[in-house]
Amino acid sequence: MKAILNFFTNRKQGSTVKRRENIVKNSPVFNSAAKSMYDVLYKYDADKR
Amino acid sequence: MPTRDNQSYILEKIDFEGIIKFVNQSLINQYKELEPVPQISPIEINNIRDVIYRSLAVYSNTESYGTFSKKIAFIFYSIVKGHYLQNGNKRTAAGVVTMLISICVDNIYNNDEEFIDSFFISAAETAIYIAESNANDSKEVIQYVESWVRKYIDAQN
Repeated sequence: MKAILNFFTNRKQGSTVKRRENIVKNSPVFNSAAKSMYDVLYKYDADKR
Repeated sequence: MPTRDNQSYILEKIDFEGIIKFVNQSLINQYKELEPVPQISPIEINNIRDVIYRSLAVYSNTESYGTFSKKIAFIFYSIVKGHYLQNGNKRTAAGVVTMLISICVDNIYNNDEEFIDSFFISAAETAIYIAESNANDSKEVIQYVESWVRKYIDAQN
């Protein structure tokens, strides 16, 4: 979560702050969906070996 | 300065090193029991960050990649094909690209679960498509990736 908060180098602009809030709010969705994506790619490589 | 689309304007402000490290840490955590993904080195971070910087390049007041979708397509293709890492190139590329799109495209998470799942699974399929493609077909492959990105931008408009 802390890493997500630091993604923006410029934190003072209003739209950026709002965007950061949205990212933090949605980070569990991102993390969960990204896990499935990584698994598809891991299985692809594992099947090729 | 050239006129940029809104997503490209946001893209420029992102701390790319933070994103690359975050994706790498996620992969380390997820695969520690299966097949450990190594900690990314500073040189590897620089190589991937340089790809992202190159997508933002401006020559003679014209952007090399004039739209957000063109930039992302270049980044996705270059990371997968560049083999900058010992392991997890496709996963890193897909992780970085989905993070960049998630940050730069408004309200992508306002869609239903099916849409979000399709976004991430199609990102994995796109990474495989790039990996399997012939280098001679790079132009067509990048165009395909660009259309994949546009699909998710257009869904928000």
